[in-house]
Amino acid sequence: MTRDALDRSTIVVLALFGLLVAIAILAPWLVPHDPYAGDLANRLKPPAWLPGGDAANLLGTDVLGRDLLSRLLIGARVSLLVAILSVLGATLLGSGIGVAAGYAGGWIDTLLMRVVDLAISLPMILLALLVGVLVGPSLTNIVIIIGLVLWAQFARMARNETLRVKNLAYVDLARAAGCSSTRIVREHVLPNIAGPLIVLGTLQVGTVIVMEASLSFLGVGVPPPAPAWGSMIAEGRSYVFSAWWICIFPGLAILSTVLVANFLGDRLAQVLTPERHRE
Amino acid sequence: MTLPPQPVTTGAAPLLEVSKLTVEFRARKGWVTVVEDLDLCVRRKEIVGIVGESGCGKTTLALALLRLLPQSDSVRVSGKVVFDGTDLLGLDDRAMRSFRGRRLAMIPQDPGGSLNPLFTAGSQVEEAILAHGGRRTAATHESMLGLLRSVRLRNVETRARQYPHEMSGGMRQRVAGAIATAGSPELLIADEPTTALDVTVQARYLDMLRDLQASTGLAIVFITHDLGVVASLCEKVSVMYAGRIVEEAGVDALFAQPGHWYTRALLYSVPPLTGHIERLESIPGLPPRPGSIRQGCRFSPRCPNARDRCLAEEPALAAGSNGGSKRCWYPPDEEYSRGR
Amino acid sequence: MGDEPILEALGVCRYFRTRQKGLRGASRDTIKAVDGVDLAIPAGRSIGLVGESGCGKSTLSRLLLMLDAPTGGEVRYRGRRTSALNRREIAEFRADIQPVFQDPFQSLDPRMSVGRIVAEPLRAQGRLSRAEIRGRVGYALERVELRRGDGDRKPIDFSGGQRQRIAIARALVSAPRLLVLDEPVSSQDVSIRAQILNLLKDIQDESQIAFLFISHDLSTVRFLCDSVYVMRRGQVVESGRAEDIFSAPSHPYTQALLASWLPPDPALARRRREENAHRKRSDIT
Repeated sequence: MTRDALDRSTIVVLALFGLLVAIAILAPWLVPHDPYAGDLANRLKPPAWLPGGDAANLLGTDVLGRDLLSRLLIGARVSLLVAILSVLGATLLGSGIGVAAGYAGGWIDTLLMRVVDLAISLPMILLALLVGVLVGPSLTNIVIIIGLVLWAQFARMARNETLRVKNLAYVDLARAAGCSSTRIVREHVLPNIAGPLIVLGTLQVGTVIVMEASLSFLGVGVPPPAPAWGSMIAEGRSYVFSAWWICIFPGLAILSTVLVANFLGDRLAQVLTPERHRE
Repeated sequence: MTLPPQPVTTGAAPLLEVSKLTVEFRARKGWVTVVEDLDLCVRRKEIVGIVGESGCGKTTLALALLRLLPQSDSVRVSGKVVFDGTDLLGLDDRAMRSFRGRRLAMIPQDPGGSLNPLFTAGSQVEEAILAHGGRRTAATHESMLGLLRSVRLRNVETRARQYPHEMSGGMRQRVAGAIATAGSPELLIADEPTTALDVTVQARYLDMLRDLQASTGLAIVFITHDLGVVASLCEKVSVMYAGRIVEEAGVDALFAQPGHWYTRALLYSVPPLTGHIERLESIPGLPPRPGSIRQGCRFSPRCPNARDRCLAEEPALAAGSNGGSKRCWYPPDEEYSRGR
Repeated sequence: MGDEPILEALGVCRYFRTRQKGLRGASRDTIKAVDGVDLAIPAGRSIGLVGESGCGKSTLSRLLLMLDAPTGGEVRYRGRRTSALNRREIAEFRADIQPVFQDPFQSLDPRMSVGRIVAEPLRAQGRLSRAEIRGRVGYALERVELRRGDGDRKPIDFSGGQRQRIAIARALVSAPRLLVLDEPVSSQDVSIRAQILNLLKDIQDESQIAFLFISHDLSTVRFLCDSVYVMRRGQVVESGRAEDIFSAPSHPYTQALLASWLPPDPALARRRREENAHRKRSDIT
């Protein structure tokens, strides 16, 4: 990374992302109220700046009287946890398979890539519904489902990048120097393909957040009463016109998180793979 | 040694006269001068060579002559480029377009990149013809075939229907030549057209260019780093280093008695084909990066004959003993001798 | 150390099968990149391999370097068939025969330090200690007229010519018996080319290392090599001592190659053109 990489826009985006992560980690200490405790007398209270609202519940309450802000903060934990875990898992699994396919070539490559094609064509929602019905939804299951849907993209990119690097002169020279395939993969292939994979991973964080929200919305995400942005939107569906804050704020949270993740991915692309992203 | 008679120059006024051409690009730290104070003179039907290595500014020069540099505030071009009495730098875009291709044309360096892979060779040549002459008539197709013949392609009907990827590098360069001459220009600027070609292909391409020049009376500015090509094709040579012309002379004079240490070093860098030599004379160090500020002669850090004056004061172009001009305070005076 | 050549090709072929869609469905075409080549590189000698693009010289060099396997014939390393070498012998081969390739920008891994790049052949062998490796790397860098400290920098800090020196340093570090250089100076400017050619000449003069110098440029081959092989379309059309081939070539292709070489001598060029024109005229009459 050169010094120009740490220019203003990169720092701002990194700071924003850091803020999100910090909020997610510190959520239990930041919540003004217990996100699980509902006060039926206070249900459907509007946000503080509207008539009928007060400072006790800054963003209002939901249908069971639970503080929206608190649920939003804890929901951040869930979303980011799912996103980071599944992306990490998908990257490791996908890259491993992709590098193996790309470097080995031949029938191994063909076979693995057919598996990848299959995985890419799996419809995520149907798979999630199936698993949800069979095994019951839980945090672990969500991470696994999303990871299974995601890994194929990483595999494809890792394989293509490996092919690109494999044909460069310095790999031939490494072979001529007597390096084993393992050493070549470890010392030449992996460092040179890491950049684009990291960028892809960062961009996928945004995608996963939306995926998780979709699953929660459909009821096969993190099971209630754990607050998740998607299920909060689902709960607020019937009140969209009367108590709009129940849907809107989780929606805005999803929007901002995805935006920050995308900006971060874009900046990382500039920094890690400058040859391919000239402004 | 006796020099052969000078080539007859037709017409008193030169076809192209470049005076004090300077091209600067904006970089983070300020302006970088890539071509500096350059003078060049090309007569009708003359073949002039521009010799230089990478980074000397020769491609920028070619683009500047045709006004093909990007028009933005990061590029500054000053000086005069007078073509047949008109200063090209003073023209507006529309007027310049009537000159470009029609009166002066260019063959760029990369044969693959200058041809559109989606269109056949014939259609691209026809497009060039139409760009300069108006409407398509029955004669257009015939003219196109004629152009392909003029660049010595055989089976022109077949070639015209082929796509660039179906042709070899040499053939693609010939098609580029046909496109460039479609408007019957009076001046052709060729930017290293043979650098990527095999040596036998290059020889035939140069023969073709020579014949083309003889039959159409074209003047050519041939940019290259290959001294053998220059010796074989050009009548007059300008040597470029770090954005400046450091020597200019007739081809025989330049090779017999180089007037600048850089020219001399280039000549001695090429190993002979017959006879055995122990070492080549090489120039130590690297050429200066554009924009690096230098006091005195640009070549002095690498010159075997550099004296105090050279490091302090940059020489101007002055007349040399070989009949040309050189930018050197203490030029080499012995003859370049290497028996062949 | 016997009398056999370090590396030898005997009737070596490398054919590529391509699937082409003809009018009547898929058909197979064979590209004969190397088609029956015999070549020998004796110890301490400097052999040139000359040819234009597509002649198969780079494919042949890959076969000789064991980066690819021949489809016919055999490659022998010190008398033994390369297809029959055991692990230890292959390691010996790798240390003994080192390549230098054409493109200095692709030859060095941009993410590695120069020191690690140069050390790679030694690290792959795994026999020397870190200190010994560091010492050898420093020595190799100085040998190619760079500095020991350059080992800590990355390739991006260096020019094309300097990168080629790094590539040569790396090729020398394992004390090889043979250097295979595939167009090592073709992408360099004339002045840098001379520097590197001089360096190679010095290495030749000071050591017993054999050279296989592959190029399309006749004059650089003449400068460095004692014997020359001329290749065309996968086959060797002529071979012999450099001085014989360059002064009196017998095969028409070699003659055409030599005739196409343009000397930096305008008077000579003019004379040749006149002779050619005269010859053409007398052919017609």
